[in-house]
Amino acid sequence: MNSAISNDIDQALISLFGFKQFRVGQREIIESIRSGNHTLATLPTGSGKSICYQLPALIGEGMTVVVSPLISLMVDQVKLLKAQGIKRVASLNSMMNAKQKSAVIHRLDTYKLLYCSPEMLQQEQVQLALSNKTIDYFVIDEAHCISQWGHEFRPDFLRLKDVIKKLNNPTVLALSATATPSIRQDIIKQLELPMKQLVYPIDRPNITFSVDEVTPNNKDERLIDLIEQKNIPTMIYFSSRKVSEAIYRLLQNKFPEREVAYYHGGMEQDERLLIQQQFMNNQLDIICCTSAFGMGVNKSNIRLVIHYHMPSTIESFIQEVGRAGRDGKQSVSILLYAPGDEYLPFQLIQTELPTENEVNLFFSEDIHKQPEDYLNETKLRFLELQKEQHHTTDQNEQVQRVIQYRNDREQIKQQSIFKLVDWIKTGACRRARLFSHFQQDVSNAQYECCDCCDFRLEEWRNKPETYQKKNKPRKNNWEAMLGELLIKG
Amino acid sequence: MHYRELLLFLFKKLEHERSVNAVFHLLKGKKSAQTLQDAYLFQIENFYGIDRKLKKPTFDVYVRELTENRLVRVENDQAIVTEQGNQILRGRNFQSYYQIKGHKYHQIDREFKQGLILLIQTVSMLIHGENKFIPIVDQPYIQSRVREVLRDYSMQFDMIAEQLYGELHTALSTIDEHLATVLLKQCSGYARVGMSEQQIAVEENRNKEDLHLQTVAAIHNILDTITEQTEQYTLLTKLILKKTNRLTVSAQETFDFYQAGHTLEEIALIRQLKISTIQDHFVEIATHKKVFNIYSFISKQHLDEIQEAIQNTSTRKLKPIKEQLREEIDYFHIRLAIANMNDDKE
Repeated sequence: MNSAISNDIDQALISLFGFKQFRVGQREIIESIRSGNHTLATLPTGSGKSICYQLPALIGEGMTVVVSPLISLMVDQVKLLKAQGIKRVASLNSMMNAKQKSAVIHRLDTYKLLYCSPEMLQQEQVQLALSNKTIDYFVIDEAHCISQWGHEFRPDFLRLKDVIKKLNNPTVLALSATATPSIRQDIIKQLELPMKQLVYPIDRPNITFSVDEVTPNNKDERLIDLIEQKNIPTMIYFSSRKVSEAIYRLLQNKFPEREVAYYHGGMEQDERLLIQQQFMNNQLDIICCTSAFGMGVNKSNIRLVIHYHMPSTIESFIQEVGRAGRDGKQSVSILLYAPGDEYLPFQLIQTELPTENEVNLFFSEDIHKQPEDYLNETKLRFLELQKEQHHTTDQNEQVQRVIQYRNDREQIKQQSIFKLVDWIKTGACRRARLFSHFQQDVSNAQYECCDCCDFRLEEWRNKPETYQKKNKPRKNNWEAMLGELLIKG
Repeated sequence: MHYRELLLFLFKKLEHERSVNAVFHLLKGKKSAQTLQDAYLFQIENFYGIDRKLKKPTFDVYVRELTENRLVRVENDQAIVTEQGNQILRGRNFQSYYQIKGHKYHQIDREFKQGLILLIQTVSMLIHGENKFIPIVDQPYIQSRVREVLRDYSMQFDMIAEQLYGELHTALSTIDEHLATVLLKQCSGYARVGMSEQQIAVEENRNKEDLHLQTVAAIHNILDTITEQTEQYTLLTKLILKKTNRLTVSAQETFDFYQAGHTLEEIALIRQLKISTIQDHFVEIATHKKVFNIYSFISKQHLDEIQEAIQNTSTRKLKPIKEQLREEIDYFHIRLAIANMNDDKE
């Protein structure tokens, strides 16, 4: 690689992002796309994936389009960039009204980075506007979503290859933190592009893994014992909003001197923003949350991630655990498992996928039964999408195909839970097992590895630990608070 | 103030007259003729729309609690206040509790609060040299309003901070100390992110809904103070965003009734205002609102005649126009016709 280019990007890293050094993989990925290679790259969560395209986008001549599957992720990215003083960014998504969308489209010239949902890229107006611009890079974030073996099957992801052609074939970068070899192959197949693969191990050597097997009755007690000893920045993940609030109340009562909060998708936006910012600002010690928390949360000193419920995929487990120890210091993951816990994720599948009966009812178009009345939102969305996907003139045939597809999905989801259960019950190295689906080897643990190797959970948990809080105590009358906010000094 | 006492009071007001759910609709600020009319009829308009995010299950929990404590009993879907309940209410004046004024401020209070919180955060960050931060309020229109305010002061942050501190200090000194504290706890800025209503509630061992009432009261009290003496509060009054942007609060209220199906005369009766005042409101509405259908007040033929008269006299003075027209066309019609000519409506 020629050194002039390297210097360029080193300087940009300091001036734009304030970092002196690239992290593992970043330089290679940036240089690869700057040399015009279509690239498929995997990097662990929290390792600065987004810099891999943000940096080249900002120093490039033209514009960069970033396709992102999740609106919240997109909105957070734009917010973070703007907060860093990088203003020439915008997003296009279905949450915006027509006026807001056209405002963005009319000002395309002013942006270096445009975040876009795959659905928006299907709109003719958007395609037309973009095809007149010079697009340097076309980035697909969370690229495993392209693959139907990934999380969520969305047809517009499969249509990205046509969009790329319409935008005059810009250099493509597909990024993921959780792509197994088969998913990677599928991505390349779906995009129909020759791609250079840069695969970096996604395991994080500073995280210690362990499973704490409990009984359904003593789970809360074990949790309280653990929290009692370990006064360190902690996240506790739940699959249920209700339980996250209940445990929050329990901990709040037991540990009045600690700052505990809860966060889930059912809360008002204002409140969510407050809690998220309190967490980032080190005002909270413990957060009880669902998977809704975490997108765009980049807090460096999380020491402990507890799973009160098991997640439903290995991918989400890796992602959630990956919020720990971004500062590189030792951090611990503890999954609390009681026999029968897998029942909950299995049950969740049934609320996500329509039953065979519901599929039949949906297609029968009985005018006396509104689909909204017997289907929840997720099921309805699923069926509407599949109706379009499996369109044929023969309705019977169509129903059969949708049922077949539904069964396939159910199986994939169930297998994914079984994989996690296997991992919980394994006696072999957890680190090796967890990442074996994604890569051949894992790096050596920087601290202790896991409870099947050298980590003794009991010993660790009985060792009290506490951390230095940065926050001054809050003033308690309005005059003092007002002064603190608005008077310099 | 306790939410459940407020509910008890509202149930008392609607006793034997309306269903349990009427109270829910009132607090939510449902835009229906019935709800608006009831608010005035039973003199509980101060509580109209003060909890627009109230959820039915939350409301139901309160009702159940009141029933279990034998403060009310529900019969035929109506809430009857028991003797025990009456005792709690006796000697207490809820009518103007904390000077909450839902009917007056329900359309502007939330936006005002958010604008205030964002302005405080922004100014606090900037005077402390933090120009990179994530805004604590997401809504784009609140953000652009705050940006405009900063521009009005040519981005002189130290000056804005001083004025904001001064105005807030004076305004907050006029309200209950506890309410001021509750509001300030929710404010974010340099080195500190504010608390949510839920978090303050835990700290004070109260219900989340109680804290919401206190916050609403604080905001309404501030709005009272600053709208009475706008010249003293030039910065804070800039944050008052009327939802409709152009209608006065009172005209908007008339418009709400109109959209809920009431006639001009009915509105005057319900609101206990003079017919001429309501006519003024409709002229205001005709000037600003595209959706307003002028033909519900004036025939096409009359409108054409008036427009012709306006062109002939080439004036907008009412008297010379009136003189050209038939007897049956009155001043209200002419004013409506002139208002209707405004082509800058929303």
